[in-house]
Amino acid sequence: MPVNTDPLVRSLPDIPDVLAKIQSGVYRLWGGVVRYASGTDKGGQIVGHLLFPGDSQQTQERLQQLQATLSKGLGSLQNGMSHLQQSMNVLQGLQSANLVLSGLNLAVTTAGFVIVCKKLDGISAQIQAQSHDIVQTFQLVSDIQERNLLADEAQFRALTLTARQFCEQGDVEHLKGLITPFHKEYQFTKLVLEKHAPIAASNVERLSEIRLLQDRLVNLGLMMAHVQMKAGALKYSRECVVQLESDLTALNTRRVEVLICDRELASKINHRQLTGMTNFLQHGKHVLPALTYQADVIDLEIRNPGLLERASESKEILLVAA
Amino acid sequence: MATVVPRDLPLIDLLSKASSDDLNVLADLITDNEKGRVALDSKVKITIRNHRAKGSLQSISDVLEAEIRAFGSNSIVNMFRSSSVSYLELATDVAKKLDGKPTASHDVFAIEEIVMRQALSKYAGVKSYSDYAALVGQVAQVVKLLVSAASGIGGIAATGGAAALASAIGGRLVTLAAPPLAVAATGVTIFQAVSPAFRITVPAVLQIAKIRQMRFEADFATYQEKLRSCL
Repeated sequence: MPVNTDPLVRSLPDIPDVLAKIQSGVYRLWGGVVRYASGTDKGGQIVGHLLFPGDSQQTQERLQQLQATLSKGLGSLQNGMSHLQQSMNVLQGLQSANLVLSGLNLAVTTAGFVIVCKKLDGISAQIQAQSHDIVQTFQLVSDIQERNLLADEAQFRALTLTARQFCEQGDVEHLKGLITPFHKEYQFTKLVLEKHAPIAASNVERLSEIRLLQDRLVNLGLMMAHVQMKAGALKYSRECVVQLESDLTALNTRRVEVLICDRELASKINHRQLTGMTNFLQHGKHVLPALTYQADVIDLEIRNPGLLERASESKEILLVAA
Repeated sequence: MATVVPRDLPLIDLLSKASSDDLNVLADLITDNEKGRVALDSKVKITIRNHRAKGSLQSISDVLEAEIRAFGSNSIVNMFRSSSVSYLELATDVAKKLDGKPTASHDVFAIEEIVMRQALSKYAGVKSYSDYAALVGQVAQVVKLLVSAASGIGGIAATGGAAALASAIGGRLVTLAAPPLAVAATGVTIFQAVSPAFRITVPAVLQIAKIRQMRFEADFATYQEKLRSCL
């Protein structure tokens, strides 16, 4: 039965009490979730969920406003200082994620989906421009099978274009048929990255191709989550986002593990290469809060159908009561 | 572009960032514990002594480097070289002296590893070491032993006819004149290790190898920390 969401949803600036309690340390932010702080009577219990505007620019402005409001509490309050600092760190993480991805709601809104489509088009163009190096990167996976990059690329582009069309037309039945090819593309990209991650030198020498492929992985994961959501499979949509978060964490962990053990390679890496590598790893790290947030939002939508539509139209941060 | 964890820092750069304790060992070796050596310019000796006292030997790393390289020009094989040798040549000579097998493909880090391995085996009977800290600790012990031996022979060699011989031949070939008395006093093994200029260059290269190992490990630890912070 559809739920009337109105009584549950309020614009954050309209409820100063919530901000005051975050400042005083009674509440604490965990990702996009407001909880009672540990040590309080209801420690850990959820007060509500934050929903950010669909537009990345507005999200950035609202995050900065929220940070500015909360930071007034820093230095003037002794109690709850550590809680407030942690909440500020959460906002900082979300802000970085928003900047890195150009949006916190890429998987869960139609506007975000369009951005993801454009990013994938851009990545495809770059992959084609670097086709020679990419072919070499793919060939590590299989020396026997000569991969036809152009045919592969054409198939991939056709898939994204078709998905975009079916999403806009609300053609649920045809969208469901695209889920398998999406999984295949995602898994293939992930396997290539997994093959390279344990090779320390590869992470340095092939960084530009690996960066492109990982960008593709991220945007594919977000696109797949959106397609699943449009097809009505919210549970699987959420799983796509959670899987992407887990895959990025695993890939980065593996890369760091092999790099910190290889003394010979370390002695050959120059400062520019190290900066490139750490920027890439940091980028992967900064994406994670956005993925956690989106998984939470999809969870909210499962429990309160229609919420997302409202959030995407709002210009303010919304608080959805638990 | 410079590497993040360099294996082949120029000697001047390496010494300019070394600890005072480590540089004091080199200073004592060069100046024979401030007693002076025949071929050591008295002004240089005073400069080293003053900086040692102030704990600022890092600021005269160029002086230390020049003196160490100059000792490298004293062995027989170096007779036909110009006034001083590169540190790489010097370290290679030391590796060969210790029965190591350095090749042209080895960089200075690899050659110093050969020197450390051979020296530990020869003078401490150590064939393997558990980790870098153990290696550095054992190298320090061997350096201490060799510095002590170098001082004993050097004192004798720097007197009487030896000085006259040095004057006649030129350069620092005087150290060849270590008398049989010194051999008897220190034992054949140590004498072989420290004969001619090698009694200076063997402990010097070992000490520099130790400094480079420590610097490498410190740089590597910083590199690891940078990467870990990305998780």
